[in-house]
Amino acid sequence: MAVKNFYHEIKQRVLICDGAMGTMLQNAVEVGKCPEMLNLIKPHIVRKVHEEYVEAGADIILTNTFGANRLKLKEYGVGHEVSKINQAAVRIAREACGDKSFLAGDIGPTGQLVEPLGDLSFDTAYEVFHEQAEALVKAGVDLIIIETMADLQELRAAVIAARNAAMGIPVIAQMAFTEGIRSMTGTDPETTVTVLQGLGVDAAGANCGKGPEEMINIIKQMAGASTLPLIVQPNAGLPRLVDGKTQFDLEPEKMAAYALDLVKAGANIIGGCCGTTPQHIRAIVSRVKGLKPVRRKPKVLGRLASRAHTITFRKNDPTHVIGERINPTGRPDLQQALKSRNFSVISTEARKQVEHGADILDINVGVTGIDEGELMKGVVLSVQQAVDVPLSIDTKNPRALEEGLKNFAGKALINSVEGREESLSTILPLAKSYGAAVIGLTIGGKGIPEKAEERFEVAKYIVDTALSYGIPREDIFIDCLTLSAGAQQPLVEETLKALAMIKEGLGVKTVLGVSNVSHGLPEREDLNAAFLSMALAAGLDLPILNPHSRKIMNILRACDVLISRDSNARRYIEVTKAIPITPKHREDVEQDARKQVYQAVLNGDRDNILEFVKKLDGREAPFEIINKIIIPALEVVGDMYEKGMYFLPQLMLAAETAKKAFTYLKGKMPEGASHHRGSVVMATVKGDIHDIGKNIVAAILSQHGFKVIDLGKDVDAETIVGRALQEKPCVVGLSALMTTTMPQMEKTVKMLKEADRDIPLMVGGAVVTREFAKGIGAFYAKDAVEAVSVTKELFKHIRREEGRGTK
Amino acid sequence: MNRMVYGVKAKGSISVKIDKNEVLRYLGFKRGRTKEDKRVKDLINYTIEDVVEVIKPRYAFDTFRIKKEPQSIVADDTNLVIDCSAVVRLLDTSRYITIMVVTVGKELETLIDRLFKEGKFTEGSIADAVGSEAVEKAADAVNDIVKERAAEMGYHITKRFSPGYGGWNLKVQRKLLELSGGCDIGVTVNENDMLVPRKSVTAVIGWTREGQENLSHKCTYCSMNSCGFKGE
Repeated sequence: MAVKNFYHEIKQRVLICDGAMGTMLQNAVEVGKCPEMLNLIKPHIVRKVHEEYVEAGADIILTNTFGANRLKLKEYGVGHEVSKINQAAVRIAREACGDKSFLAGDIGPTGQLVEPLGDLSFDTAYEVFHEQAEALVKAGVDLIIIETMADLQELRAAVIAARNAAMGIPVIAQMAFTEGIRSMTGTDPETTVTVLQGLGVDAAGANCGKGPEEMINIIKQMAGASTLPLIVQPNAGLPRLVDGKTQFDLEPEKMAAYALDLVKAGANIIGGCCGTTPQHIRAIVSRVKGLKPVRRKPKVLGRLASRAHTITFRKNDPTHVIGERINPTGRPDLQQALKSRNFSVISTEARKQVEHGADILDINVGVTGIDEGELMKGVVLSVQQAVDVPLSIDTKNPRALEEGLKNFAGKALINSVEGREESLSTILPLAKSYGAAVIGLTIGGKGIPEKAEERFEVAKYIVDTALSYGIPREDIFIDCLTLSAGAQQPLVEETLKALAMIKEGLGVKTVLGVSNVSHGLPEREDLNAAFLSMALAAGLDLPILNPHSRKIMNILRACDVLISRDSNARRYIEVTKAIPITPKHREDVEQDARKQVYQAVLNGDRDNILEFVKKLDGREAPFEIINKIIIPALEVVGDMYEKGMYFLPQLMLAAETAKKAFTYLKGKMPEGASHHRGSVVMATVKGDIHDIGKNIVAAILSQHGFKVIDLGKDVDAETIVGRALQEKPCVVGLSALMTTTMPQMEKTVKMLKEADRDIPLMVGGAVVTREFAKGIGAFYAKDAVEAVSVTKELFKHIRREEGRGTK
Repeated sequence: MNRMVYGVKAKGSISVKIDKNEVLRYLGFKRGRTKEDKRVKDLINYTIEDVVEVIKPRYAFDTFRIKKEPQSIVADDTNLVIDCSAVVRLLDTSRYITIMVVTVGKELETLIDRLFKEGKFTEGSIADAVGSEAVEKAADAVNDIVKERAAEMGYHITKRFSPGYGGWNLKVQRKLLELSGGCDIGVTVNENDMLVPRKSVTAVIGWTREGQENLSHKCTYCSMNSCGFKGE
């Protein structure tokens, strides 16, 4: 079927994609075996599934190649068979569908996380996807569908690779939204389509992760943010585990009942993911096949995006600003940090700028004598870990630019291209390829023209050229260059004049670096603020400035009120209320430090906790800090651990962080005062030498304020009982790893009960179960966090008893 | 011919490659649920490096002909009797068994104890998980050596099976240690049949003319379904 047809068809009618392959093959593939190997060993089974979908009326058939990339296949020892498996898949599917349906080559995730969240480099991910896409295209698919992507960076790598391999055939890309309406690594539907539209896919959408009902909202959000055709492939409801196999609960007719709503929400292609069958597809076909897609008229807006959010340029939105501080020019501290690759300094600078109101961060890492490409990659990767804002990649070095664009998960801004042929032909292809917006500087072949009219001409040349490269007007920003009022006073007015002309005449957004205007003059902040307000009045959309300057930020917010970019002065009022008057109030400092201590425990920041705790010296009683800040933070950590959102190292880091604070605060407490809640005697029982679990529990308990007496491992019952009688702890905790040492546990419990039946026991360990614990008369804790809650309960109980005693 | 198989024994040192994903699994990391944390991942990378530096993986094994009794298996010329039904079933078609022992050495134990003593709980718990992965990988490597030796003689090997799993009583540990040559590489057993140093493994592997090995994740065969570490 001709490709041209697809572009035509998708405008004319709603297309139906096929349903699940994986769950259809569940019975044919043994657990732990590679489903794509069926293309080589049992092609007839795969063909049968394709035939059933063609028969059901699917317009698009996907090849059985979801996991047929080198990394996935390698897990099954067939990493070298990429091209053979993909080619076989295409042949089988073509035999089944002939020219009746479009044949789409299916590409799924690698199963590994791309940097900065994981270890897989963008370049490797690109190569892996390119290899698969090339094999599919060579074998003759009509389209490529990338699906079930959980991470924006992996999605970007797959799309760029597929597009480069596709030789002009359409590329469709879908994200899986599993965490509410976010992907596994935090990307929302609007950001997904923003990035995908920038990358030039032919349709975008969502699949897997959700049933049809929840998909409606996702498609609506995408429809409002993009002009792209949309595709949706929901699961057949929610997964359930039945007899060890995953099943889905939505029957064909019930699922199909949502199809019309999905079309109304804006979907152009509807198919099915996990759990859907040819019957589901047939039911969907009968409801929506042949319908005309709804006509969407989303507002065409400039958009930039980071991993988890998109910023738009609407006419009356508050002015967005680019923070200019990550630039080593004239900053020895940053130069030093960059030279030694100490990126935490850069990350801190990034975080501060965002706290002070930057919406976008400019990243300039030009330090002489250092490989700028490598440095750009490193900085862009680490800044994204610190802040969630779009980046402006600021460099003259094309390789550094490419590294920056590649490694930024989002839609970046390029700073910048000049109005010269050589610059345009180098930079614009990169903008197109990585889906970035671009700033054009009005510098022509003869440098910066003086007159506004001449700058307009350069700007027009840039805009026309960018449009010819397929970069849409809304992604073009023009910077008509701020010159110093000290050196070239008359040219300041020319800049403002040019700005107004360009905005009016070319319909693009404008950018200006504000701070340059005061170069060489005293009281620079005053001049900068004055210039900023004049530029905003002339129509400036996106100032580049120093967000640490309170004066500048105040003027910006004030101007927004005066030029109707802040409806009802809402933000102005909000922000002026929130900004503390200098010098900072004592309470603010305290409040900040409290938050910092709390956050430090939550994030396990063991290196900085003391600095934060010390800020509260003399302001808050040590006892209060422990009970009102640290313990509540530890409780949140415990909760996160129970939910699986933290894993062991994060739990332990939080414990270490709290311990540092405790040790320091204990030294501050009056002699004799104790923050202990009570004591716990702990031991690994006689004959057992596996004490890691006991050590972990002991560490966590002591961080929760209990005095832990750790008797070690291989401890006999007599020693444990003796110590327990001496200490009268609120609980005795025993651990054992092996079944052979569980009788020792029982023996110890018995002996202690005989000696003093009021001391409770708590047991745990790999083979210990709740039933066993109950049987021997002990409390059970499955892990360190449960051990804390059991101990706390017992402690409360003891206190109540004591309270009664004294009455 | 029989003589050739009987007495296939060896001992030596091996190097292991740590699979970070397995370490993450031991530490309870759930992809998609657990918060991604670059700092923690870096810490894990460093700790893996530290552990790899101190461990000294060593192994020993020996091979015996076996005889089938109605409910058990007996190794020739030894007093080893295996009566655990899971193992008897596994060795159903086997004619020989290799008994192996592998350890990563006591140095790691010292490192972990020191880390906990210094209050470095995080590194300590990570090092313990890396140790578990290291001894598994070491056992896999020995498995591969045995597989090669078996193949040279025209045999397939069965899955590896260790005491403590599938109801196989730990009491057999002492016997396995003795027959595999555990004392040659510094592995002993305490009064409760636990191996010392901790990160050590004994196992039996069957030699058979039939069947082939299974590539599924090792956890598939374990009956402990509530296990938090269960992988797939």
